[in-house]
Amino acid sequence: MPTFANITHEADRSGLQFLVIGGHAVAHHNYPRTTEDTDILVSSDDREAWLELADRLGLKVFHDGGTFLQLTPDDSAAWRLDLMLVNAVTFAKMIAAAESGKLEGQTVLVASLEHLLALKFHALKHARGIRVLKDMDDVVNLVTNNRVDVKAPAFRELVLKYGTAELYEKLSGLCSE
Amino acid sequence: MEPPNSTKSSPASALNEAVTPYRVAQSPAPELEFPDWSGQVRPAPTATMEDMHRLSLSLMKQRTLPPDFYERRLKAKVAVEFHL
Repeated sequence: MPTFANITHEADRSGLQFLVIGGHAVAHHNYPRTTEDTDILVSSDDREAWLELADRLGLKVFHDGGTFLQLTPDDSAAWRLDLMLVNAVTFAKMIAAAESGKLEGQTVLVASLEHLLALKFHALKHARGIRVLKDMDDVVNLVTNNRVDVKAPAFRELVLKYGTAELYEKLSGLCSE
Repeated sequence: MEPPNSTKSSPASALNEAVTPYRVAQSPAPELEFPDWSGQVRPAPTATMEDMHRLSLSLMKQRTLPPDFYERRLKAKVAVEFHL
């Protein structure tokens, strides 16, 4: 059964970098919640190397969406791993701003709050149904628990760049003290 | 029970007070390029008829009722209806 320790060890051995995003990153940034899988961000340049690593660890490709890979372990009790691919330039910028965190006892790089919010705003632009509620809940709690000033021009700029004006209006209403 | 005007902080507000306000520092906003990641699918946990059958058997084994309880109840019901 591949644990997260196996994955980090294999990634280190192969010289592959990754950034923790998703539920574990949300928890790192002061909003602990349950999650069913581990989401990591990787460079699209490393796609093949990650597929080889997954194969070595017995992780099967459940779904290859081109821009993402959903991997499933043989053991249903083990973590499912989702790889989100971004271009090398974006990946380098996000790695440079990343924070150090712990996941299953492993020291990992976690997306900065600013970048995590940008990812969430981007996700909300495409999300449908129950996914909207989940991402909105994350954003509201990240903003509230980290005391992010929603009225600050830089925050508005971030929402407008990766989300929508409608999203900014909603957040302003939900998160204003 | 807390009096109505208690000033004691809730766990949520205590956390809030302990956290340094975060400032989105980067202006202009960072130039990051995210692809469309929609279309992710994970199967919701599902149970087949076989799973349900196994679960029923397992639950029946835990019953304290006699195994012919429902049969006897049905017979009794039929008898009553017939009598009426």
